[in-house]
Amino acid sequence: MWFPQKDAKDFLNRSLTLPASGFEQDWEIELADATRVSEFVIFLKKSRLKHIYEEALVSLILASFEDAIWRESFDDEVWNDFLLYILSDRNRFNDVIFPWLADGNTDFAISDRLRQYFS
Amino acid sequence: MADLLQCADQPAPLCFVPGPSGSSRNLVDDLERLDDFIPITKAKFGHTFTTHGQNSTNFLTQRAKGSGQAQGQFLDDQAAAKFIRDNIDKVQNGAVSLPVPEGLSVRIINPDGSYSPAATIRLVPGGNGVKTAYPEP
Repeated sequence: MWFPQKDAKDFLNRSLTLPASGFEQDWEIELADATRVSEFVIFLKKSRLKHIYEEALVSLILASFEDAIWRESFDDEVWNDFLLYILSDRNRFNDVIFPWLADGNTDFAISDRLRQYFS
Repeated sequence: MADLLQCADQPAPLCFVPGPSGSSRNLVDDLERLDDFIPITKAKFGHTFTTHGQNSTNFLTQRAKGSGQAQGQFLDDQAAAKFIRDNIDKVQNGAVSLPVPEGLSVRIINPDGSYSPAATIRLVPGGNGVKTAYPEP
């Protein structure tokens, strides 16, 4: 199972001024922010990031979209923008996306939307 | 389920069915255990048990080694689910760390692969309960 590398977490903590304590075991889940998902997607698209940084940011964005669904603040336009980016190289983020696909029996809020494009 | 059907038309306290070794057991005990069973759903427990559950030893060992950061593991998912359920009211203002209660089986997997006791359990609110929870050193 994939997990974000320390370098990537440190870089994104600094670049996005995330409120990290450094003790997060589930970094992307704990620092997800539904109110900043649009900003995260713009940063992903505009920055030419190393792949391990890009993977970590995609995982943070997915967790933020999950939070947004629960807070009823999900933005389809931002989601479509994000999808276009990750679908431009469909297999590039498979390892990051896989845990969110769940198994259909007990899903994350975002699982169904992802399964339309990834399986 | 076959046991339950066997007893369908009898008052539960009077109904005994054969246990695995031929002994009899009271259906009431079985029903009480069923009553206590907590369905592990993503909506209520998020990533807790896929990442920190009783079957996550290999993943957590790799992540501890790869990240250089100790990782917490619940060794009894049902007991942990009960702990989370019983303390969910404490996360109304955000994530909290609570002392590990006596009897709850948890451990820390260190970067060198060794195990040590956990001091607290982190509950991070989200979804319809927690989006993750894990033991902390």
